[in-house]
Amino acid sequence: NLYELREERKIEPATFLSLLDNLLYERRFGPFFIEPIIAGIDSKTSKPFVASSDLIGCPMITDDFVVVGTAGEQLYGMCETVWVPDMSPDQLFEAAAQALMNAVDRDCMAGWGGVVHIV
Amino acid sequence: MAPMRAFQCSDLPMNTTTFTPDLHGPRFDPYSLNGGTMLGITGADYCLLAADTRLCGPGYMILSRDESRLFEFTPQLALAAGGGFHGDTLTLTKLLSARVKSYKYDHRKEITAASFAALLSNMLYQRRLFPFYVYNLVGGLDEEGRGALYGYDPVGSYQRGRFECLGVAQSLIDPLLDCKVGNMNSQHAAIPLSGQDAVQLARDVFTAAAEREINVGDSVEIKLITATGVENFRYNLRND
Repeated sequence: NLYELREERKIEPATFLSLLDNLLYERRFGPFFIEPIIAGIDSKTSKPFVASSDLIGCPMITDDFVVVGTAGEQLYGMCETVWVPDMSPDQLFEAAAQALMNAVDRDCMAGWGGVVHIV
Repeated sequence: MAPMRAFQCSDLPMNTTTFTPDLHGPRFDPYSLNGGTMLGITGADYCLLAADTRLCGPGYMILSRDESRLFEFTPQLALAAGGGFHGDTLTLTKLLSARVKSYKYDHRKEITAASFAALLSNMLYQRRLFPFYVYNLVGGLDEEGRGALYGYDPVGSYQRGRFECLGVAQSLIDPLLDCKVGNMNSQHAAIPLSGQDAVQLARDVFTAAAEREINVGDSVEIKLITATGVENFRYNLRND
């Protein structure tokens, strides 16, 4: 919001990633215990953007997908199989939902449904 | 931060809870982690076993790109053994070979899948206090000709199932099998998998696992067990 006020435009995903990572690294020795993922669309290039970070702000930007959480390994297996490049929003929804539902069903600490946001 | 060192079995929580570390100085670790991932899928008239062939060593080493983890015992019975210490895999299968031969001489017929499954469970539990560090999958045909698959833990607890995955990439592959073979979280009715479909599925599953798990790669060996015998397949995976 401060960014929006100063720059008079909405923040880009890549910039937000930088912002978040610096914020997290400021707490290098007393970190926020989070594993964030960022998904968005760059307004200039209209290309989709996905990235994840560890708890102290090491960024990882990928072309395909990112996964976090207790069912992370399960998600890697599912996503690696269902992801193909250039999917339509509907295909993407189906792929994401199947990946999430089946992965969390194999983890007792995760589950009980899921929410999918298509940006 | 502690300096980097090779992973040891003593790093696992199961050892540190029962032995106080450093009381006797550095101890000999009788196990080594050699990797390995196996899966099994059954159908109405077949059973499929698949395993990767990469043998890993301590500290990100590859000891062999071509070490088989699948063992045949009769024309309708095979075993996938791995996911832990390869020395125990080799010894266990050597002992099992001898026992299967004895059974044939004593009973004048080949051992059945259910009997072999019980035999393996007992052999593993006999070593309860110094286990064979091997994850096993017994695959074959039952007395009615249907596919039979039994999955084990290292001390012999076993259960018959429709599909199963064990080993280092288990957490990556399990949800995949649930989705594709178990038809979970799906709105459509299940499509039964033929033997050849299952072979291609196993190949795809290992290709996906090899992308994201460092210990899986090189090639995948697949055995398809049907009433006519065992058919072997082998597909390359990434070498990195």
